[in-house]
Amino acid sequence: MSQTLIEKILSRHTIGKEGDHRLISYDHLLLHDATGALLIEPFQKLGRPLAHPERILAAADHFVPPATAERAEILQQYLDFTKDLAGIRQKPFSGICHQILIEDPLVGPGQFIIGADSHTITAGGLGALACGLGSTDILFSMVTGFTWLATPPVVKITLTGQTGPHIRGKDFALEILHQIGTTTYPDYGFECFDATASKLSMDSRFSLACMGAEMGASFFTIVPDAITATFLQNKNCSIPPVYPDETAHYDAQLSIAAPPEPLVSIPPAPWCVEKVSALSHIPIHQAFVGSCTGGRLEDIADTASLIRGKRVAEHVRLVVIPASNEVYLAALEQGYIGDIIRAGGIVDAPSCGPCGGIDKGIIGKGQNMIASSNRNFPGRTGPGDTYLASALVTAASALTGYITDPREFMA
Amino acid sequence: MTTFAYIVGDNISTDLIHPPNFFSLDKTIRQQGLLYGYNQEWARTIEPGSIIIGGENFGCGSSREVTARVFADRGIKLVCAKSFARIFYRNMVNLGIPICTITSAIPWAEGRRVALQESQDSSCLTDETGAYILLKQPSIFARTIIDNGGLLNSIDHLFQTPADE
Ligand code: SF4
Repeated sequence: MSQTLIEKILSRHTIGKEGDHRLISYDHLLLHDATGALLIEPFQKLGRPLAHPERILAAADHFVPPATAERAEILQQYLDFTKDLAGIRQKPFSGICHQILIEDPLVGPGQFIIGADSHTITAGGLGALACGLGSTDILFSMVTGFTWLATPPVVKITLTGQTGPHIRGKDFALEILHQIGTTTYPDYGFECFDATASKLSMDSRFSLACMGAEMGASFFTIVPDAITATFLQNKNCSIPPVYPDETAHYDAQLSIAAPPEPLVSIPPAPWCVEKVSALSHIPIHQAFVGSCTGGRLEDIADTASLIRGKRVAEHVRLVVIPASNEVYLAALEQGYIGDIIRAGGIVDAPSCGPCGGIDKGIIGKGQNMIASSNRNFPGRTGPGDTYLASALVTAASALTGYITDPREFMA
Repeated sequence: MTTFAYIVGDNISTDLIHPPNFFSLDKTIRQQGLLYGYNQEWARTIEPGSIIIGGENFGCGSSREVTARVFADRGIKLVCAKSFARIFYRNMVNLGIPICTITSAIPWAEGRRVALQESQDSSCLTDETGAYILLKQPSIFARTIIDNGGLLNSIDHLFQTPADE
């Protein structure tokens, strides 16, 4: 029987059945300090060994470096805990867990990946199946070697149109959210085909897959193509891609055309979406380029190219946080970091920062932030209001102090 | 016996259920955050044994498990909603916190005292005027996990650990 990509990957990893649920083995299991700290005590209480230590990748990215004494203690407990887990892949202080996962040469298409964080879904950009789970689910999988899951219905999404230099993966994510919100396809697997004329870059695809979490998707996988192949080759990953069958049946189909102009999500939720041109009256106090959605090299390059030789608007804070050390080093080499600093931007070390309301750029009451991150629920990034957009829109807004169409600054 | 049911709207995110600044390994700090982003007064006054009634997509957003654990920390008797976000739902089941899906209209705009009547597959909440909402129990699989006191207590009862590939 012909299969979707999602069914194929699930079948290949199914090792048992329990009622309506599949028991599924994983290729990688992702941990980070904030949610990982929660499972230390129950792990010790459980007293069972790890099923597959070599499949566990332990990042430390949320409380890094810690902003309060309590967080320093949480981080330390987590580091002490992971240090003692023999055989796992330790990667603290290397960047946001979802970015270091996709940079890892062992992580590739066709794999099944779970992580203790909802944006684990990002790795779907590689043509893998990746999903976020809570700490208890993750602890269960650490000791049993599998997780449980009902087979999700699958929606096929075809991206079409011209991406153009001002339209990024983020704009596609916002267009999808605008069209389907977050409850049209709850817990569906999203299988995405890039049929745009110019093709989205891998960084754009990761940013799109990442926001599958906001769409209510259980998985957001992007069917591999030549762009994927080049990316895999560059990171020395030789895992062969898996493709859907041509005659595969989908439970729903959706065609998404590139929006003609950049989009912005307005508070209180990611699925409240407007055109950038409708929001030019909104002043901003901070612009944030970063997070597992919008802190990759493409985002930093977009920011630098837009503000190079100009000045950030007076009293506006432009906070830039590269998603990983690898991204940071590449941005340094390319001169982007210098461009940003010379234009008046603030660059911080790879970590989550204000995304998730953690540190380094939280906004106060009555303040507006435009951000390349993924969520703007009330209270998430501090008591102020957060607007979500591409790094291009974010950087353009930093220059004027108002939400701004980047095309104003693009030759 | 009646108990107070608090009513919240659609799309209540985990950031409203438990704002990030209450993230802590210390239960006394953690439990102060229950629904703080939605109603600070409630965060102080919700009593153990209370019921929470949500709309669609309850618990959307972050997978931080503390956002589920806080209902247990505060002794909430039952969380029901028209629909739940996937990770939040799993977290509740995995921690063994009672959860139900609402299958009827919600006749109340505001919270009130209700009685919970439970049966095998469906349950209902009724107020003193006789107005009610119908509740559907989780799947047998999920219910077994809840009845076992959570996923970690279920490893040996529920799963025949399969041989790996
Ligand atoms: S960058 Fe934001 S969304 Fe991504 S893992 Fe960190 S806190 Fe979560």
